Amino acid sequence: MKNKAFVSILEIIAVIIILIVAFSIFSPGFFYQNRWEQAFISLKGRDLVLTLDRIGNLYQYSFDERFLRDFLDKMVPTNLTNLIHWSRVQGTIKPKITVACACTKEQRDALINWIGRLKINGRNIDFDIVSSGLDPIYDTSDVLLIWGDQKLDDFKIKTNIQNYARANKGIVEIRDFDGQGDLDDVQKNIFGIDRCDRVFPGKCGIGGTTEISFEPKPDSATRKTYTSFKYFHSIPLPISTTNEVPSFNSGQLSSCTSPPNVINEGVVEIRDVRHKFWICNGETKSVYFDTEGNPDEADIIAVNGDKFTIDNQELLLRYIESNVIGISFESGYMFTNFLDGGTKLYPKDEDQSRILLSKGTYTNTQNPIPASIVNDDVSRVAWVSDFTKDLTKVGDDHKMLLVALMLWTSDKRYVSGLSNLRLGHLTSYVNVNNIDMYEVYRFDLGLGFPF
Amino acid sequence: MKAQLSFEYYFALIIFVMFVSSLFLKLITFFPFYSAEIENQRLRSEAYQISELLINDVGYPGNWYEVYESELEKVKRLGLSDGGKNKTNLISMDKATAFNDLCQSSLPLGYDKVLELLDVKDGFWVLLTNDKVDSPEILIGCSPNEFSSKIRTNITRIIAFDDGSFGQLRVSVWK
Repeated sequence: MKNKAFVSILEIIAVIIILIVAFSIFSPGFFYQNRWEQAFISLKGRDLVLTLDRIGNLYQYSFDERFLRDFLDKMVPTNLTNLIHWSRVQGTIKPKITVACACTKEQRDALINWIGRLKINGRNIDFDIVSSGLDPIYDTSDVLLIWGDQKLDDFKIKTNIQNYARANKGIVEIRDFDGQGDLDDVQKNIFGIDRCDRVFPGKCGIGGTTEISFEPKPDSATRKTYTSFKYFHSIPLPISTTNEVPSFNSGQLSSCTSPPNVINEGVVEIRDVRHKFWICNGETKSVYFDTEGNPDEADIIAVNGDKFTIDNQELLLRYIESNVIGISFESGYMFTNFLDGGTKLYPKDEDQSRILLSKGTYTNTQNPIPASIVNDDVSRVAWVSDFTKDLTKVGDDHKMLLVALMLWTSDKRYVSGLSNLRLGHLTSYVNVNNIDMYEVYRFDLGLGFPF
Repeated sequence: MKAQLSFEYYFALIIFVMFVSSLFLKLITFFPFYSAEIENQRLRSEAYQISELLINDVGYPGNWYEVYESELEKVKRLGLSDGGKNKTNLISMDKATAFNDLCQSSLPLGYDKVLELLDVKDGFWVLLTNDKVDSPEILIGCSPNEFSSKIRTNITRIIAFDDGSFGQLRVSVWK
C-alpha cells in the first residue's frame, strides 16, 4: 500500500509537469503584431526618392554620397528615427573607374596623362589607372587594359582572363596581329575574333581606302557596338590648355577682349594634325581655334554649344572652363588610318554588327576590314588596332576612342555594403538624364533599422 | 466509499479550473490592449489616407485656392498637389498658403470647414514645414483650439514644393 501511494504521487507530479508544459505551449501569451514599421520604412523610402526627383537633385545625389547623406540626415535623422540609410546605383558608368593596365610603365604614364577627369551629364568621372600583370590580374578593377603584344595562351593567364570576364568586368585590348600565326584561344573565344583568311579563305584582299570610320553604323540600341558608338559621339573629351599667353593672333576675327594673362593656349590634335586653340576668358567665354593648320593664327570662334569643323570633321564644343574645354565628335567622324596592313581580322561568328570601326571592305566583298571589334558573349570586351605605336603621336580622337571603349566595357555594378539589418527596405527608382547623352540608370535607396 | 470522489478527480478538476481561469484572465487583460491596437490601426490608416489626399490630390475644383475666398460653396475637396505639374509628392505653395488661411479663418469655417472638406470625423492636426532653410518654416499649422485624447497617431511624409524646396507634412489623428 505504501508503495502504491508513492507511485500515485509520482504520477500526479508527472501529470502536473506535463500539463504546465502543455499550457505554455497551447496557450502562449497573446500579442498583437502590426506591420506598421515595415509600412513606415517603405513609405519613407518612396517619399524620399520622389522628393529628390521633384526638387531636381536625384541625379546629383545619386552619384555624390556627401550631398545625399546631408539630405537624409536632415529628413530622417538617425538619432530621432533610428533609421540608417545606404544607396547604390546600377546600370551606368561609375564615378570612379579603376583601370588595371597590363602595360609598360611608359604606356601607363601616357595613359594617366591622356585621360583626365571626364564630365558627363554634369557629373565627374575619374579614372584610377593602376599597373597590373595578367597573373594575377588586379581584380578590384573595373576594366583590364591589355596593351601591346602579350602572350595570352598560357593556361594560367587564360584562366585569369576568363575569370575576370566572368566576374562581369570588361577587357580592352590594343594590339596588332601582323606576321603572327594563328590567334590564341583568348582572342578567339573571349574577343571572338579570328584571322580573316580562316573565316573567308581567299577573300581578304585590302582595298584602297585610307580612312577608318564607324561602319557598319549601329542601326538600333540593341546592337553590340551601340553603347561605345554613343559614348564616342556624346561624351565631351576634356582638353587642357598648356600655358597662359598675353595675346594671340586672331587673324580676321574680332580680337579677344579678355583681360591680360587670362588667355589660355592649348592644342587639340585631330586626324594626326595639331591645331592650337585659345580660351578667351572675357565676359562671355569663347574659344578661338586654328582649324586650317596655320600655326599661331585663329580662324574661327566658338562658344558653348557651337559646332565647328576641323579637317572636314564636325566637332561640338560642349563646355568651356578657364583652362579646359570639352569637345565631342559629331556623327560621321573618320580617323586617319591606324590599322596595321597585316592585321586582317574578322568576327569569328561572321557577325558584322560586332565591328565598331572599319577601314573600307576587303577587296571584292562587302565584308568590312575591322579596326575594332567588340564582343559581349561573356562580358564586355573590345579589341582595337594599335593606334599607339608612337606614344607621342596619339591624337585626341584616339584618346576619345579609348575612353569610349573603356567606359563601355567597365563594370557597372555597385556592391551594397549593408546586410543583416533587423528590418530594411530598398526603394528602387529608374532615373534618366540627357545633358550630354541619354543616360538611364537605377537608383536604390535603402532604409533600415539596425536594432 | 463508493459515493466518495477520488483524490484524482479533485486534482483533475482543479487543473481544469486553473486552465480555464488562466485563459480567461489572459483574454481579459489582452482585450483592452487589443482594442486599442485596432483603433490605432484605424487611425493610422486614416492619417495615411489624409496625407495621401493632401499630397497627391489637387482638390476639387483644381483651382480651389483661387476661388475659396469668394465662392467657398463651390469647393468640394481640399488637396495640395500642384495641378499644373501633376506629379506625386509635389505640393503647390499657393495651395499650402490657401489651406492655412482657410484653417486660420475666424469665420464660422476655419478648422471645422477643413474637417468637412476632408471628410474627417475624428480630431486632426496638420503641420506643413519647409525644411530647406536651416530652421524649418511653418507653412500650415491647422489644429483645433483645444484637444485631448487617449489615442493618437502621427504620420510624417516628405514632400517637395513647386518652388524647388522640400519639407515635411505631419498629420496627426486622434479619437
